Amino acid sequence: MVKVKKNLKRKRTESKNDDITPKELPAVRHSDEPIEKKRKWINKQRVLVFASRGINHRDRHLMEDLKKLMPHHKPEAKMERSKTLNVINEMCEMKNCNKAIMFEGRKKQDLYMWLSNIPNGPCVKFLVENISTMAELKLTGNCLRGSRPLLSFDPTFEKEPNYKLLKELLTQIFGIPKNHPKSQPFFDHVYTFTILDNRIWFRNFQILSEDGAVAEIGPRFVLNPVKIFSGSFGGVPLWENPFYMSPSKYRRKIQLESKNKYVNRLQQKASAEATRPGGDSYQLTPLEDIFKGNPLKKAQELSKNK
Amino acid sequence: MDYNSESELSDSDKELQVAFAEGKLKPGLNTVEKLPKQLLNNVEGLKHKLADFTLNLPWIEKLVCVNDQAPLAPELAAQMLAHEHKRENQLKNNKKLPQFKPSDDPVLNDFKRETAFYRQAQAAVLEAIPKLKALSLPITRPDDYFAEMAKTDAHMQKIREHLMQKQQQQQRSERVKQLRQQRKEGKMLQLQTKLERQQEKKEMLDQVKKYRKEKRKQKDKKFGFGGKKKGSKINTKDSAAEISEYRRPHKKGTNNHNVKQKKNRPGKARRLKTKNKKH
Repeated sequence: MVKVKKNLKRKRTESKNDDITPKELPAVRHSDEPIEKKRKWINKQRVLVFASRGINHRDRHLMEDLKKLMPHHKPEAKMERSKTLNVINEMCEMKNCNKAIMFEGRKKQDLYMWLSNIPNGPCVKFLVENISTMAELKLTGNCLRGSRPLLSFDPTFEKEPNYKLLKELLTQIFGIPKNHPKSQPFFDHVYTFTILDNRIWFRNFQILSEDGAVAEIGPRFVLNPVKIFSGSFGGVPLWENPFYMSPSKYRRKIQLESKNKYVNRLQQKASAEATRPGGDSYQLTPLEDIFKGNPLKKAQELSKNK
Repeated sequence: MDYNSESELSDSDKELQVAFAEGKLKPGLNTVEKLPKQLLNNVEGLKHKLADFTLNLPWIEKLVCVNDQAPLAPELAAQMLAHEHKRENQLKNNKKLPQFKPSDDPVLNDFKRETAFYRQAQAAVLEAIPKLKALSLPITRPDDYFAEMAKTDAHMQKIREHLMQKQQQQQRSERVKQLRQQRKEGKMLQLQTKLERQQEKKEMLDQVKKYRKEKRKQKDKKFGFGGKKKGSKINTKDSAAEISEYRRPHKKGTNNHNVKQKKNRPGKARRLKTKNKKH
């Protein structure tokens, strides 16, 4: 037997006007007339946060930290590597999400992060470097779970078109919508996005007082942008980072350098051995003692030896 | 065979000439330089895409601040300077550490970078809070408002303990440093007093010596010291001629107190008589 819920209430209609200032109410109202529902939650962002199979523990913790800080996220199980990235668009649609953060681990040591606007893009691939999770003891701050962060961007974000695009995407994903049901109404932390060394450095600070005292909460990470695509998980690439070098390539470069270091050292040793001065190098002038003692005797000796 | 090799040579020469004409050859290069990979930067596309997905919402919906760093607070500047000094000392005192110039020191740069982020956050706070206040929104959580935090209480306790431990460690190391300094000073003091005492003793001994010498001199002056003693009491011509101590001999008959007065001793008869009278 299935109980059928009776719809006793009349449905409330959403008001179309967005301004918050209260209007003057009409003088006479009927008691059974439903009040207009106030439309508060305008910026409806839902972010699907998940990872592909093969990320290491620290990266997983970073993901968990981000989930803790984002009440507007939706979780998803780890994605199989065999699936193509296009599948994510469908997954997001099923979960009713319009943004996605996807973590992709490579070789159990490199982490890539995809940020995407579903379904029309853009989509960005980052290499994530220098990760510190919120669990580190040197990060002493704390904040409410679900309070809205202030998003602080470096002025360089306004200069170039690629950075402008990244700024918009980061705000839409990391900013918590106002009046989100799971959010808190207070302001107790700031995210800072700073461009340094062609990378985006992320920090999360707690606001200790209104005069500007802050303490770091974490997590920390550095986003090294790789590519910007026009579509979501696909489409035409719009921008490519000229300074990007893949981590495996970088490691190989270092390895080669270190190898050369060894060869150099061996060569240096060999050449030093080869050019080493001989046994009596201290005897610079061999006939130096000719004038020592009696010169006449010396002369006689020399002539005898001849 | 000779001809063959020559033709090859001329061939490669031609190639090189062509490459040079195209500007692919540069002095010092003996291979054709690869042109750098064409990198994507579709500015129009980026702008178009940005316009496509930008959300035009009031500031309160987004909470975005674009801001530079806040001015350096004096205490932060002091902290930075202290850190720099500490780092310099560390490098100076431990030659095993890789030596860096202050400008290239990665640790110092780490610190500087983190302070830059810190200052950016400060600036954002200083910019955003008045705006939020103008919208009359609550900023700080009231004390009786309980809600789940990002970090659990257990974790915060752990952090507190860690901080305490760190503080204690610092205190301990400071105390040890102080003790070491005290011991050093004590040793110095000890050495100083030892030297002082030695000096005092030396001075006293010197005085005693001086005093003794003086006394000896006086005695020598009085009693003589050294020189020839034989014949020193024999008359010389001068001493014989000396008459300052000469005195004329006493004349007889003159009442001289030098001459003893003759005691009158009565004769025997008289003596007996007086003897008898007494009885």
